[in-house]
Amino acid sequence: MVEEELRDEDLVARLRERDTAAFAILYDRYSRLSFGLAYRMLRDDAAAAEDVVQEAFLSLWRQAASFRPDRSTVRTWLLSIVHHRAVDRLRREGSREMASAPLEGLPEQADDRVNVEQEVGASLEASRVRQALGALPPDQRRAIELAYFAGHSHSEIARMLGVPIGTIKGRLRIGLQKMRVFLDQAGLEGAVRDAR
Amino acid sequence: MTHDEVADLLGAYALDAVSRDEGEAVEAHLETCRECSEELGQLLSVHDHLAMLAVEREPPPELRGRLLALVEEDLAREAGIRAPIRPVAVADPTGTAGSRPLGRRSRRVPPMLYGVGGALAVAAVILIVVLVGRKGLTTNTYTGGPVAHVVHGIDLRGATAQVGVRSDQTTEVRFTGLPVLPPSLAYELWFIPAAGKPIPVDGFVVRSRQVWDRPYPRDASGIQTVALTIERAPGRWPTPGKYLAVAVSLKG
Repeated sequence: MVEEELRDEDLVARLRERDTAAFAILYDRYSRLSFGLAYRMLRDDAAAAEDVVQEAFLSLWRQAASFRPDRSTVRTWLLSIVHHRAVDRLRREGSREMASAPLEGLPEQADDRVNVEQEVGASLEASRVRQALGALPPDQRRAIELAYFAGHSHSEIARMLGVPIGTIKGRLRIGLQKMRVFLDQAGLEGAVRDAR
Repeated sequence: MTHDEVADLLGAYALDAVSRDEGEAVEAHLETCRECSEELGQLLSVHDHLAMLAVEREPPPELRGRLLALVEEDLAREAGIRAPIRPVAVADPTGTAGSRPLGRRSRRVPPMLYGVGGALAVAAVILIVVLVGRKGLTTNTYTGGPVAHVVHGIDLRGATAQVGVRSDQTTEVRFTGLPVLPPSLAYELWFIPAAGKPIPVDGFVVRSRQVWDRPYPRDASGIQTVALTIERAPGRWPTPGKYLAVAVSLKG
């Protein structure tokens, strides 16, 4: 079977058998998205983003046995690791500022060579998520951006915005709930993660 | 922490925006509360989608080789032996070098995207109309647009796309405002089915920001997306770079 036909779940199964070729294929599939997420969260610090992506892929390799395909996809699992690691790093360094990349509209630049199939699917998904976030009231959207992309805790966000902590908790929860409804209606429900 | 207190924290918890103590309290509560577990599962799925807002970016090329070396070291350690002193076989991401077939770029649509793709719509899809012609011919019309302001250095602002799926099993494709490409590049039109390989339909260039309007004798049923890429012009091979420029979802 050629590598294009190998499903992510099959590749992770091969990771459990310590197959480095499977690891390389997964890296080729998801390193760009992982690096893009880390780069954005870490405010364009390429070296820090590289560290985070390296840690995330090593976690993928070392914790492959804990992956549960019934609970998430490989992509969401990996990106969750990237996000957790980036948040850890931001909090460790204590030097967070709001990520400045615009969320609305189209990305300014998309000039990398792509696989047509993947890029179409990814861009459509991204556009729906962007719409879902953009449809939120500004206060809720801002709170989610500060939490997800800048790695701030709810108490930090409350302090930054000068509002009670309870207000921020509510904005985050209600904002995500609304996004979920929006994405459901757009047919982008995705895998509901097992929270346990 | 009470049920209500945990419930209030679920959004922050889903976004990694709680303290360690709060996180542990939430996790303890989840062990026994089905209601909170279900809600958190829903919120976490949104968290997962948020990652798609990041723009893909090429990591430093040396990272791939370093990671492969590290996993090789892991393997040696697990086997209880010292890692052999030998160069790690790292394939060249460009596919032009390398001693083992690991490095060929091979990204693909994640399986879940096939599953949900039928219901996705491109950002700019705002209009679906059914036109009834004089001879009873019906046309479902879908609109789309560029996936970014600039693709491969080409400014696509102002470009629009429209696809008409006609009941006589022909498909009309209309682009306006497409920029003129340098001689080394050309546009390539693709029909992308919900499952299976993209189908190349046409290649063309434009000589001014004119309207490109063509009927194609192809049935678009089963086609999920019509896409336009910027590619190397014919005769400029063998560097088949593809840059997605414009997309129109037919499932809006």
